[in-house]
Amino acid sequence: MLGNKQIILWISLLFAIVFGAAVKWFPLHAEQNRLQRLPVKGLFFSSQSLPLSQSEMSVFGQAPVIKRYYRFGRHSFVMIVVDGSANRHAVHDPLYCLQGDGWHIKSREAISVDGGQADLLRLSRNGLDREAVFWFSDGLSRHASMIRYWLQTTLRRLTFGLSDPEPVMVILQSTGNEKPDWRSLLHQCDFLFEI
Amino acid sequence: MQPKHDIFPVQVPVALYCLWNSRDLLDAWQHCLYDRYDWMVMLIWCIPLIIIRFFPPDERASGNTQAIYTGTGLLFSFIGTIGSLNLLTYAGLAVVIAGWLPFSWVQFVWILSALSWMPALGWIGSRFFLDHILMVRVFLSITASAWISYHTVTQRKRQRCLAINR
Repeated sequence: MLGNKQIILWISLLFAIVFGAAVKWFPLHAEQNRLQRLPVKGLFFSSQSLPLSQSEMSVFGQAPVIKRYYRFGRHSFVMIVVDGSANRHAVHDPLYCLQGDGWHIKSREAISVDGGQADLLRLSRNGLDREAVFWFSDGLSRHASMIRYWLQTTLRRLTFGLSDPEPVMVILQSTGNEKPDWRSLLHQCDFLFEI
Repeated sequence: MQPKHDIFPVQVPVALYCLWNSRDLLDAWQHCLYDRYDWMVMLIWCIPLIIIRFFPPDERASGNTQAIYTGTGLLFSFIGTIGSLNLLTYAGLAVVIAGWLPFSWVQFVWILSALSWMPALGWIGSRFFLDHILMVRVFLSITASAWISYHTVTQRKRQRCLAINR
């Protein structure tokens, strides 16, 4: 004979399995063309798509990703945008990934961007120096806090999309030995904030 | 044979459900630099489950708390899965596993020490103790496992002595 505790647990387990499967089968609405809003070229800039590396493909999986080489005046940078709407785990903490990839983070600095703030990272690995800027954007507000991103995305899933839109992760990386003036560059590159 | 309390038949499928939800751990163990030895740390963390087999608990006293642990773990794992928050999913697994041990306050410390085999500790460590992540993991799991094993075994021995003296 089943006790009350056992009956409650069996029902809870059944509910968790059925409800969990239903959520997997009917995933949250993800705006398919959101990343395509980013302009490819404009009056003062141009870009070209870059292929993802093997490691990037394994990290991002099936999540929509854009990787482009942008040229803006005399500056250039590589931009990666990841939309974790369909697969939240495709979005990793950039600091964690960069350090895992062998980069040493020499400094981290908050810089203002349209709608919030981003983080500027100064990196080094095997004598190479690079800079990267990243932020999370839901289209209106921007921040560089991984914990806030987790809270936003978890809340969105638990409320079945009724909370804020899913933020995307935007990473800009310097190329070669160039060290752009990111504040000035981001101020001029309005097109980056169309997403 | 190990005596079974009244929720044992549902503890097993709940544990399997939580394990299935925690399958991202396998991916982390294979691909993340800071998590590659977490499977070993998890094995160390689970040692008390083996030790306790030799000192079976008083099934009547532990039934309620085990149901609470199992239910709480199931809830954590469910919310973690729906919310895509692995930390909560893994915490659910840890709590369900803790339900296999007899209740004691040291158990809470042991559950907290489950962080030792979770990728979250690698994330925290990458910010504060980058070069010592594995060492912290191993230290945490060994200390907590040894403590709860010692505590549980001495508790069982004391209970047996009291039962004999009665």
